[in-house]
Amino acid sequence: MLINYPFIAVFFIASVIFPFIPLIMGYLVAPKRPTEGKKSTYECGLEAIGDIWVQFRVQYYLYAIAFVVFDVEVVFLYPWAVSFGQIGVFALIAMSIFLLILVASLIYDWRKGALEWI
Amino acid sequence: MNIAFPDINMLVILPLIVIFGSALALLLIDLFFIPAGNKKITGYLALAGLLFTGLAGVPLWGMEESSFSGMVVVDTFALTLNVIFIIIAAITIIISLDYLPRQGIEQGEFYPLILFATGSFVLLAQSTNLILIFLGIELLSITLYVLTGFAYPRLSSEEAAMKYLLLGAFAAGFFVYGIALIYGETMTVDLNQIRLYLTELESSSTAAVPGPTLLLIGGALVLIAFSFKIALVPFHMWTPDVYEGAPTPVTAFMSVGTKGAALAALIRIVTIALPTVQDAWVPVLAVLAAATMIVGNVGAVAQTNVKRMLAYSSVGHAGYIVLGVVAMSAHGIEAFLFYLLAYSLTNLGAFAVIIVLEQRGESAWSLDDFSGLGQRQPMLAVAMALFMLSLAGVPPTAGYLGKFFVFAAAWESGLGWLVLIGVITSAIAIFFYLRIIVRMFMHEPVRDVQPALHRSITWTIAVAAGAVLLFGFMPNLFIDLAQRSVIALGG
Amino acid sequence: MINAVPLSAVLTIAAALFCIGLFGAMSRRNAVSILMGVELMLNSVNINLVAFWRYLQPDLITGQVFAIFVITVAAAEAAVGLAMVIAIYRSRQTVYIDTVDSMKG
Repeated sequence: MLINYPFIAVFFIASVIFPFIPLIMGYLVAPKRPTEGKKSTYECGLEAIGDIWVQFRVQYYLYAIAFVVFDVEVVFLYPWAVSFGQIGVFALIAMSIFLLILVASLIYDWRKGALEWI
Repeated sequence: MNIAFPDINMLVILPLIVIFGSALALLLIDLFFIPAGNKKITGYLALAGLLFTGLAGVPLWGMEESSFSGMVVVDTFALTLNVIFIIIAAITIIISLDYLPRQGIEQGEFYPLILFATGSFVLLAQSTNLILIFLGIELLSITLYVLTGFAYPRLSSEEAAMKYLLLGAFAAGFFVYGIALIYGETMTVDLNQIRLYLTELESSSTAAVPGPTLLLIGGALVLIAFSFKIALVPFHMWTPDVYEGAPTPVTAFMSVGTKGAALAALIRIVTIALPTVQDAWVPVLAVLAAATMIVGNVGAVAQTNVKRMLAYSSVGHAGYIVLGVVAMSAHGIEAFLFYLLAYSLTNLGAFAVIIVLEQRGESAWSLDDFSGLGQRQPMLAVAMALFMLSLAGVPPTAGYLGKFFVFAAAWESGLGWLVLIGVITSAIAIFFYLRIIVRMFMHEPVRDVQPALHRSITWTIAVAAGAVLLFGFMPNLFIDLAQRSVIALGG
Repeated sequence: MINAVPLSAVLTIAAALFCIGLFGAMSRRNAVSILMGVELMLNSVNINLVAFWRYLQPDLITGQVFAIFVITVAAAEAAVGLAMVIAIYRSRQTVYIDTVDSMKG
């Protein structure tokens, strides 16, 4: 098994070196005659407008937070689903209670208006 | 792989089901049926939920049983603690009823959150499994982060919540890392099996086999995390800021509830899992307790803000309570339970008085607010004086007996130097508690403070003061119960 | 496969990650970065738990289950933390915790 590791090392080194060689060659070989147009930020050929640090609305973060919580809670469904065949009705009831609690919190979110895009 | 279900006795987790069920139901009821501006109804319903939780404990009385493959246990120790926690939560809710609208921060979620936090206390008192203890600690912490920030948009409240959250999350990292190491050493997270592992290791240990190194490192990390939660020096830095910034009822709630619940879990861990490695952790905890008593009480002397002073004083009291744990004896646990009850009643009463005096907005909670209170509100001043005397440990109050019991337990266990430090720091403490009494009775009023005395809060203060006196004169009312809890724990 | 990488190597990586997270949490001013450091600490614990389970006790699932609990709890904590960061940003226009320090003593 250990014999496989040198291959990984070779690939790792190669992948680090590979992108740098063209960059360095270009730096060495290319002529440098900068003009105003060449130095400007490239954005589809147009002048860049505004700051690149755009502020998202706060609503976006509320969505994200709610998503993270619900998304992660679902992790508990995986072990349950995998062993569903062996554990039967009791686990089904237990999982239903768990999901009911999640639904309750979803109702709470919804009723509080956290899901509305104003 | 065939999965066999362990025997499950739902009765064992009945208090947990009731309190979490009522908290969840209350959250939705509040959302749909309780109109804004009338959230007191939610508070009354929360009190009903607490009552049901207490009633759920009645059929379990005298039971001593564990279930869910030994994850949860119900015994007199847990049930006694549950009663104390329910009292704490009930007093917190009652003193919040008028406070929240007065401060303009009335939201229906406050009461379900208190119930969730109380549920986590109950969980901590009942669990004998490190995963469950972790869940309990985290549930407690997360609800308290939110409650601390409840006075949003008051800046100090937000700031306190943020500080508490960052340090708490930090402590959580230590806690799980410690548990992971313990799991790596013992291959179990069950407290009873950890003890079995250790006794086996002890009997088979030779010079060739090293001691349970991973377990000791893990135990140290867990102890650090607990020190954060209980606010033991040197992990107490967050306490004054958080206690000052949080809404006053929340400060009262966490100054007593969190300490009690976290210490209950710590007692379970050290008495069930770690009695064979006593030599490793008892000295550490003893030094922490000594440092806590000194720093807490000396720090309080310099404070002019009453809320901050009580924060430092609660740090000091954490040190005294830990003495009961360090003693590692039946008397120690008895003393812990009595001290917790006495301290809870006293501290909640003292905070109730502060709430009565607190003005809307950025209140300074300055000592000046207490000047001349003896002339304007003699009964209130007398109650506050009683609470201060009880905190200082002056007879004939419950606080005095609590201190006496923990000192006696520590003395019996041969920790004379700790008792000495305890007595000296208590003497220091008398100074700053007396300062408030002197202000109230011997100074002229500095500014006009209109006490917001409502019927519910007046009664709460009266009952708390009465209970402090009652337990001061007749400690046997509770001691019998505490003694039975000790036998149940097998301490 | 299990013999190729010794348990101690995995534990060392986990410990290194824990220390990186610890350093991140202690050295950053930005509240979000601190939360990220804490998350790193918790995730290193997950590596630990899963490694202990796989190497020492593959028949029982305690380690795995604990790891799942740690993940969910960490998510809940992060959610509360981020919500609080947003609240503070709304009222103070900053996420740097050293500027959020009005209480002293």
